[in-house]
Amino acid sequence: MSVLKIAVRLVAEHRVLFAVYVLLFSVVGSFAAGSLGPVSTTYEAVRPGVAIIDRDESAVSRALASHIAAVSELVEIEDSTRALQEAAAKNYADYVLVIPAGYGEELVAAARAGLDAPDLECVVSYTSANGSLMDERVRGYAQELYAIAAASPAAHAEDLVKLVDASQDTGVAVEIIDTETPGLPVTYLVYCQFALYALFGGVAAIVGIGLADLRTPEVRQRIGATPVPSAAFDTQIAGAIALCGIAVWSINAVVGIALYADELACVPVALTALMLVILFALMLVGMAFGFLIWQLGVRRELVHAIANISAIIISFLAGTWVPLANMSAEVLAVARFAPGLWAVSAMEMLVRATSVTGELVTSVLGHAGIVVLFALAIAAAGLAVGRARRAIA
Amino acid sequence: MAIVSVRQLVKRYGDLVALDHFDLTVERGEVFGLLGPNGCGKTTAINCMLSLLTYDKGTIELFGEPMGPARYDLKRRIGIVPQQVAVFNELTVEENIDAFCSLYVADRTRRRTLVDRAIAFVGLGDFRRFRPQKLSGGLLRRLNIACGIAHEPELIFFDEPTVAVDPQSRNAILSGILALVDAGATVVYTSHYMEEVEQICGRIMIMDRGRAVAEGTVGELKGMIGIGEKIVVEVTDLPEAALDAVRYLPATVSASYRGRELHVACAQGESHLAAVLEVLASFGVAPVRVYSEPPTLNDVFLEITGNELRDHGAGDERPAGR
Amino acid sequence: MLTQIYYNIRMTLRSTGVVIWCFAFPLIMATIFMTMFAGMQSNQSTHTIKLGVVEDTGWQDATGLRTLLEELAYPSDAEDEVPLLALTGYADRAAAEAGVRAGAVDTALVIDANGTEHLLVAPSDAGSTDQAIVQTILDRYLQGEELAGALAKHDPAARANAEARAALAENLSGEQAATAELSVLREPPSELSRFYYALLGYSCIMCSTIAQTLIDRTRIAATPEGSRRQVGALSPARQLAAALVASWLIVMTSMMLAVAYFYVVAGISFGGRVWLTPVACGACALVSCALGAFVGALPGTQAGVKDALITIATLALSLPAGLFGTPALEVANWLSQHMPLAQLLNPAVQATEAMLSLTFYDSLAPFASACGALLAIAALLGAGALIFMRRQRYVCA
Repeated sequence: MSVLKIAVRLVAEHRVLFAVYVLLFSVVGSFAAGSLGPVSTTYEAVRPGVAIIDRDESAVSRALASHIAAVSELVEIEDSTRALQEAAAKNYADYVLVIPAGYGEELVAAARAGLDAPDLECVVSYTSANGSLMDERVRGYAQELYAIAAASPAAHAEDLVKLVDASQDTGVAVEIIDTETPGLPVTYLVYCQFALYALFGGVAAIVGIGLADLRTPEVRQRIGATPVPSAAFDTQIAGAIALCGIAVWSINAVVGIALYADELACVPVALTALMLVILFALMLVGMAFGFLIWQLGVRRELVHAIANISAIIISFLAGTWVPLANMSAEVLAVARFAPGLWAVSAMEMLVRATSVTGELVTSVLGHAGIVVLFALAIAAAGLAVGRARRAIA
Repeated sequence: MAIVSVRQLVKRYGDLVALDHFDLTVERGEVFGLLGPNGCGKTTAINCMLSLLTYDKGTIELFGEPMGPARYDLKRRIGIVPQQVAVFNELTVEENIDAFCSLYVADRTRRRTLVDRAIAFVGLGDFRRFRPQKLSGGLLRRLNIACGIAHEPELIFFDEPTVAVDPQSRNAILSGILALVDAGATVVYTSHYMEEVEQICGRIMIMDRGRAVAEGTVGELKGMIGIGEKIVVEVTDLPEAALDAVRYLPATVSASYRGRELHVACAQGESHLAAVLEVLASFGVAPVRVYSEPPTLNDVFLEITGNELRDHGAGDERPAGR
Repeated sequence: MLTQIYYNIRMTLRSTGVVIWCFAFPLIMATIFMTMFAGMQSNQSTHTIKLGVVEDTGWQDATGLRTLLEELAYPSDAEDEVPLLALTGYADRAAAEAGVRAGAVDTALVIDANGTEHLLVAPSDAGSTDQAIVQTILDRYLQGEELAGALAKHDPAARANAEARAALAENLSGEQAATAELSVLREPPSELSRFYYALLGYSCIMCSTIAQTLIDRTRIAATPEGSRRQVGALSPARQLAAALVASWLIVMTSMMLAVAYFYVVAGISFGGRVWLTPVACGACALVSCALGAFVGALPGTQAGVKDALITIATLALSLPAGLFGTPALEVANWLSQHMPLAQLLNPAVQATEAMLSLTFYDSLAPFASACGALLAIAALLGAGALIFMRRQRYVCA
């Protein structure tokens, strides 16, 4: 047990790595999850950020503006080229609506003359799905005004607006499908996706840096001269690596459960437990990778680089940054050969779950199993490297 | 002419007096040994002479001119081989020497000859394209030296250049230093290895607690201490009474019997070998082997600086090596 | 001095850390961004929403709605146009619910026995933009029916006229009231380019480690090599200058390399003003050197601590520049609108800002002011470094 104790003490000297890789990235994960907003049980249509520049100030333009304001989050933007440019370049708003001067009158006049209405001007941001939605809403409202204006040639603009506004409450009923039990909250999913960074890169960095001293030829020589059999040395090192991994996993799990305690309380415990199993499997991959780095005797300054860059790539291939659905087929094909994809798809099953069924448990565990296989493969590579190095020595 | 002339130098680190009215004169062409226990102020003295450190009082003249941080004309004539290996790990042997040499010599073609000469001098010809990490301890020390001497300085400070070096490399380094002196250089040499200093230094100063406690040639120093010759007699057996009798001899400073050898340290003066043998004979002890040796510099050093362990307390001396 | 610059460059480029973090990392990240957004960009404007429909009698009876949705799903006019909707039929509500829950469709439409439309969404992704788009289309259709009814009540005589009714129906589903997209920017905005620019901001801060290391290696007591160099016959000022020039050249190269990669490989156009990027990169490189000198000169700081400081500064300053994904961009926007001073003093933000203005804005004034801000930051840090260094000269051990 002596080697294990030394190893644990060495790793403990690098506590700061736990703070940076585990706590910091857990916080980053919750930060990213926080951007999704709280989960609600009732359907609410998305409210994109919109800025309205009303150069018309007519009854029609005001009605259009207040209709749009009701279905979006208003953002204040000055009516200047520079402000418009900045808003567009930096996506201050998903959609900027510019109502040209005289629009109200011209719309009504065009409708009654059977001509096309003047164009409303808009600046659509690069998150264009939200932009298209707002465009749909703007055009819909304006088109309704147009149709009503054409149909009632004598009515005042105010009356037209009243008529159209009265119809706005009409709409399709949106229902959230009832489920026996809710799946895991999406916020927790995002947190867990980010945990991949800590569990993979963090564990690898902690193992690679923390145990680096036990890898130096001088120390190996010293330990080789002691009565500790080499098998016992290997086992104890493996034990130390496992302790690192379990420590990281536990910290991450506790932080996650503490952060999302309220949401997780209404979800079956089994789902949370399965999530922890997936995270544990990912941690095993991190451990194996750390072991491989350690066996390779990578220099300290390179350990951080390798751990971080591979963690970035692995979490990218897991769809942490961009949903897998948005990736091209080529990237998806590559992603299949990385553990993240399997873990994250299992996580998504838990989010979509409507009840805890044997089928769900089997498929989640199946995916976790594949992740464990990745860990085994990497660990085997580590062992092989160790053998080869020993043979050379 | 004195190449180095330090007068009444005082350097304090807070309450600690690192140099206490320190004086030093080094003449042209000599190898001057600076000895002292760890933390005695050797490196501080050198750093002050090189204007790397400010000092509180005193004057420092090199080549007869006052030394200062901006005296680049003087610095150009000085070389330093620091105690810590100070080279760039990313540069090769050749590049390292050239990089440091370029701080003194701007002309590229001239530098090329100088670098080649330095490489040949330290015998790193086979390792030109090696990076420092690939060099063994002895080779690294040689590179450290080459970086300090490539610009062919007139005055060279060697600060413990042979730490952790094997005997072959050490001999090469020492004879190299002598060759530099033959070529006209003046050397200030600090070391913990007494036999090295004894071997190459013409004059030696022993420092302790920031002051010079003894100075002179090896012979002069040996004459300063109480012990004269050391007599060793190998005997098969020595009765306690015989040992006591040897101890009672007037010239005996100390006597001990360990591992079939009787060690007797005698006072300065003529040889006491006959007297010791006479006492032994009177107890019927027949010597197997007898020899007598003069005191070593080590004896001088230990007697002057005392036997207690150093290395505690603050000082400018960092542990050698890395 | 030239030799010193040469060797400074040489040893920096041989340091693995520098090569990885200052040269390779931005390129690796750019490559990841590229692959990441490759799929996204293509389906942004041409986005198809998967709508499930329960094909029972209710669906068959809702002729108007069915026609509308089918037209959106199978547009006849333009063949290369990607349809807005993709319809998936389900036999009954239970099948549709299963499809929605499994994520096979974004939402599903059910028309009940009373002819009332219901949109089904899964609890795990209720409230998506795609659902809202479908909702808006359906709302608009239903409101049209409502409006026709209201008009009929208002003016029964006119509504009795079949021609008028047809005209109203046509107008309600028509597209006479349209919007025109203003192009206020020199080129269409993209989230992607902001990430790339933020990456340049990151480079600017991260590369300060180069100046920091090089300066430490010329200063007494900071490193053994530094002490040794100071014994040399080259004045400290010139050695410092050599270190700064070398770091500036390296950082400049690193940033221009990144710019070239973005321009050539990632296809970032810099608004056709790529020839002005060296100005911004030059200013960034100055900040980088000044920051490195400043961190290096911090009194009583060990090498490891300096490294950590630079790493922390890199992460902390790149975040408000928007490097770490969309949430970070939101933080950046919030800060720009509410704490402009913090953004003004953040070199990573100003680096991003410079590139952004270059690309998108007509006027070059914002670009010039961002570069000016960078120069001012560099001057500030440089002055700070000088003060610290003056205090420490000749004091070692």
